[in-house]
Amino acid sequence: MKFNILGPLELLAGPEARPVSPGATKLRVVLGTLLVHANQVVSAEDLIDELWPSAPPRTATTTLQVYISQLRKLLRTLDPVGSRDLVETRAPGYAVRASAATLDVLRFEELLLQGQQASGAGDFAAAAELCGQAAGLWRGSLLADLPPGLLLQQAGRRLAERRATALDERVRAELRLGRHRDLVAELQSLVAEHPVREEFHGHLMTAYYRSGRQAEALRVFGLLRSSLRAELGVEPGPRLRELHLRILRGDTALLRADGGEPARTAEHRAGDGESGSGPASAEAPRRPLGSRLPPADPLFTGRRTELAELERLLRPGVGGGAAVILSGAPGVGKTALAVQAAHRLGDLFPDGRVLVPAESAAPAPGWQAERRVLLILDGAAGPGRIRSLLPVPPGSALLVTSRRRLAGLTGPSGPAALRGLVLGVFAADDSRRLLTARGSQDQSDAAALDELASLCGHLPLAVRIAAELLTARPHWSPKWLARQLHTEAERLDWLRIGDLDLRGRFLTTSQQLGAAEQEVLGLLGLLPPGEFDLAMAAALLGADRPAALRAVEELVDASLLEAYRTPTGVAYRLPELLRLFAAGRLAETSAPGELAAAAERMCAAYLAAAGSAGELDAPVRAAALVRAARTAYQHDHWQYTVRLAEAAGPLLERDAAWTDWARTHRLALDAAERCADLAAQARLSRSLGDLAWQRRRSAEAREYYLRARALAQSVDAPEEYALTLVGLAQLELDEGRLSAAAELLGAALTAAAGPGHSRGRYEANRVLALLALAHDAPSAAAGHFAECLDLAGILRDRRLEAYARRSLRSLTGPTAAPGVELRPGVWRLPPSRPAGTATAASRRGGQR
Amino acid sequence: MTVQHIQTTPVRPPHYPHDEGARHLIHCPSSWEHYLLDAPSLGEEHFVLVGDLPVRHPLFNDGPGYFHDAQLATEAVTEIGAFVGHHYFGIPEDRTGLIHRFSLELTELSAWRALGSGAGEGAGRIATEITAVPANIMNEVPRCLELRLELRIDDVPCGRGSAGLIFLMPKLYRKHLETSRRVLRETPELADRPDGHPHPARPAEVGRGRADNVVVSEPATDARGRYSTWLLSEGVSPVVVGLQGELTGLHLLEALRQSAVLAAGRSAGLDPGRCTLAASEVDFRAQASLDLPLRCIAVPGPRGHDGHGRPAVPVTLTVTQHRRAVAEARLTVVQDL
Repeated sequence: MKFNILGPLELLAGPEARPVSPGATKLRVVLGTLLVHANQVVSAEDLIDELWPSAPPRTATTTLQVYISQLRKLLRTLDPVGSRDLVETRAPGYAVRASAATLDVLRFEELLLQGQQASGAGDFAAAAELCGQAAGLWRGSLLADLPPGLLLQQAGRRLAERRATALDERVRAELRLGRHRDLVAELQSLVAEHPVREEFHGHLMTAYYRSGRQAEALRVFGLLRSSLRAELGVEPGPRLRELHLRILRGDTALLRADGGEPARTAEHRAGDGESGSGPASAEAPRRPLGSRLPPADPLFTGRRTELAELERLLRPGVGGGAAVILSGAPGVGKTALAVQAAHRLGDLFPDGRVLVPAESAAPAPGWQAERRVLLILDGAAGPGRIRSLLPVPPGSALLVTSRRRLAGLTGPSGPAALRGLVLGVFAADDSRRLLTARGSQDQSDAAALDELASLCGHLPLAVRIAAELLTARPHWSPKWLARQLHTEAERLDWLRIGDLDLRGRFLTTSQQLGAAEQEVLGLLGLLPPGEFDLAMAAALLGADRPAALRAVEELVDASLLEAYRTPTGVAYRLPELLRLFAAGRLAETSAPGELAAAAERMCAAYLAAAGSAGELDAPVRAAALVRAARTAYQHDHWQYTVRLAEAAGPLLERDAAWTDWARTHRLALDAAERCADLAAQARLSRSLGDLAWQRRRSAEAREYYLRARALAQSVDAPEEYALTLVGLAQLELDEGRLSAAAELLGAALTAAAGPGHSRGRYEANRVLALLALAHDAPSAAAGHFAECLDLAGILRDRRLEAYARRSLRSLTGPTAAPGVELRPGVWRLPPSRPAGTATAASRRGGQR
Repeated sequence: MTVQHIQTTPVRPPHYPHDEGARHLIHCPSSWEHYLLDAPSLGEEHFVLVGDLPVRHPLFNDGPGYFHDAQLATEAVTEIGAFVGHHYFGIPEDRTGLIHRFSLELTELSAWRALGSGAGEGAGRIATEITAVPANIMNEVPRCLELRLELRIDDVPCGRGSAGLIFLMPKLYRKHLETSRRVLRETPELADRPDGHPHPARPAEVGRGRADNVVVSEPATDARGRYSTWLLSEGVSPVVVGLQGELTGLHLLEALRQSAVLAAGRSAGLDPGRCTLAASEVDFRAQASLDLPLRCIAVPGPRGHDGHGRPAVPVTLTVTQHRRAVAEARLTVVQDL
């Protein structure tokens, strides 16, 4: 049984076991507090204060005993043998037994002590290795997933100081070993993390100075001085001021790895001489690289499955070291995952864990036999640099992060094969966890957090930015921020804070593409949200299928486009935030004519895909058609606007998607007016009348129907004219004016008497049947419904046919229907009845 | 199983309801197959109920009328639940639909304000999106329906809720009623009756205007701050009381509402005329009838505020008949600013 507390709490039943943690927070607090004070007795009183800082319940002592019992049970479950007597009851409380082999914080202290001893003895190589290992045990802040009580806060501060000491000792030792160039990046990060800690600033100044970057060394001092003055009103300490003066003077002694101090060991003397051969030659070949990683991110969240998988892939196998390419879209968190995994795998790679930016000129440290090193090559754009690092020797591992999937890069087969891991966006739980990680958000507003995460596309960078925004501006609620993000045109503008800029990240990524790919990406931004197929892409790009396939697959390789199999083939999807970025770029970079032509091609393709209006299971989604209609309108394609809106109509009606129905059809009506298409105006007005009727807005419905009637009359469209009369008759019927309804329906039947007007006659008969019902004449109604059934057969419309059958059946069979089905799926119900009368005849004991 | 009997089956309707205030119920099929074949659905089904907000309802429009009465939603679910079960899920019509759980949360209180609303046509419209999910399916017939509700008033999303319906076979239902009555008869030692004739609460204190719409008595309080009232049936409007001597759902829910408003007013000084229930969770536990007295005990919590700073009081209520729980509710009374 092993415990890790230098980061989120982890229990490992064995070396290969998956880390687990008690689910209940209180249980974790008990275990965490005991582990922080391992081998010491923590009093029950202190544990109670830790568990309930403000007001312990009356039953606190009993509850604590229950927690201890549950804890022992959990440990027994994980390791029946090793957990025996692990948690001891010792007056006045409890204690956990642990050793450096079973608890990471004890191992940390042990390594640090050994490192300090080695440093004192002048064995800087050993000191660097030991202190590097000690610092590498940290995976985040102490017990990062626990609410800090008094004891944990005190321990957290103490151990954070010890961690900084370990880093300081390691850096100090490595500087003595002459590794100043390698240290610069890490020291920059440490300085940012500890802005007023003078030792790290001093080390960075030294490293810069020895790397020939005197100006930057002086700037570091200037920045520190400003910070200290502003925050504390003090000047840097005497040692740093002296270092500053030495740099100003151009002290050559400072250039030496010992900084002018006398060397203390034989090994050190050999490496530190003025020969110019440098320390590298002195300590090779067994010099450990130490940990050269960015610090673990305290807000790193979730990714349990991916971490486990990555760690599994990185475990060196027999016959060769592991090589893994971690790929994924921009902002998906590849580097964060790689760094997190590296921090967790300190035990596997004791000789060093190093992150090297792929685009930097710094050479990656070469592999050396019998050394166990994890090398992260971050942001590789192509296979060249990776090839130079293959094969990976046994015991070591290479982890490459890359936006591209780097297809075609072959490695050796067998255990040392190059493996790929594609990183996707967050699961919903992970998004919510990150949004609340800083603890400033109320987790109870889960719906708002989920909505916010969804608007961020669950893209880790976007979610992180939203989390930072909510933390930086506590007066913003998740709900409020979500409302701002709803405006598509502004979403990317909101997702920016400090150095985190989603649009900037996308821009950098897109600029790495070729001109042709950039253009393709922009054009895809024209498409409605959601999936599309190759035919759609080909139409949009104005290319043949093979060319379109090459173009989209190139974007798939670049992790900018998602591709997946569907029952009918392959579908593609541009992630929504990227789609918004692409659309914005397209508008900025394209000539208006090109844009309009592309929009026209897309509209034509959607129209073709939608098939004829009224299809029951149309091949495209209503939402896509609505978007396409809007795009058509934006580019002045009036006819396409009309036709796309009409194609979407039946789908919107079926889903009662009233808002989209109203907006799209009003837009289309305007388009029809602009192109003076009177017949379309008639159809769209009637559709808007139907919508208003369905929503029980009689006056609005009447207005639309009257307008539609006049238009249909003017273009001599008899069936359309009949349909508007039916709509008006329905309104009269609803309001109890039965003779007016009958008159309109008679006229409708006359108008639709001609051949090819079966739909008009169907609708007229439908409302005639309803009229008969209103007259309480079911047999007459049956006649009209029977006529509907015949006409539905002629129309080959299964939906209308089913409606007619159902209506006929309802006239004869028993029914509990409280009203009447007016149209397929649309029921008219009487007003809500007061309960006394509604249940007056209710069936006691099933009587009817 | 203990269920409350908000019966959901309507009378045989006229062939064509042309009453003023009729509503539309729209079925939005997720798949056309069941619908075209008229085969019962076994999956989730979606509906929208749309209609005018009532302006002349004898109960819902009685009182200061500051808010629309949220019991509209309860009524909608009561009415539509059984219809949907019978018509779209193939549940035999002799199975009585009973609601055993109901919850409603008003998410946008401003939309529920009746005073000053009524923009556009008429008095405004309420649309209720209903998602019905069948549960406990035996031989392709569900025994239960879970309903989820999303409410909009004049297109403004303003509430969400859920309800659970159970459909009992006739024999089972009869047995359930008989058992319930027998239990009450056979435990005279548990009898719980008012001392004398209960005096109705003042209409203004329960948010109503007419005396015959008051369904709870003047409360008695105890040292623990509990308000105990009796449900009234005599002299109460037939709109509320069933004609068959059974306790109707509306009667019970109105009693819970009135008790909660009364308790919040007396304990925390909330003005009943500007109050509504911002959140309701009701569990129906057992059958009750009106021939035995029903007691409602309301326990108001501390006065707090909702997210907009409005004073709010949580009230826990229990309705009992001869000391047996009939319904339990957690209501939050909120007063507009």
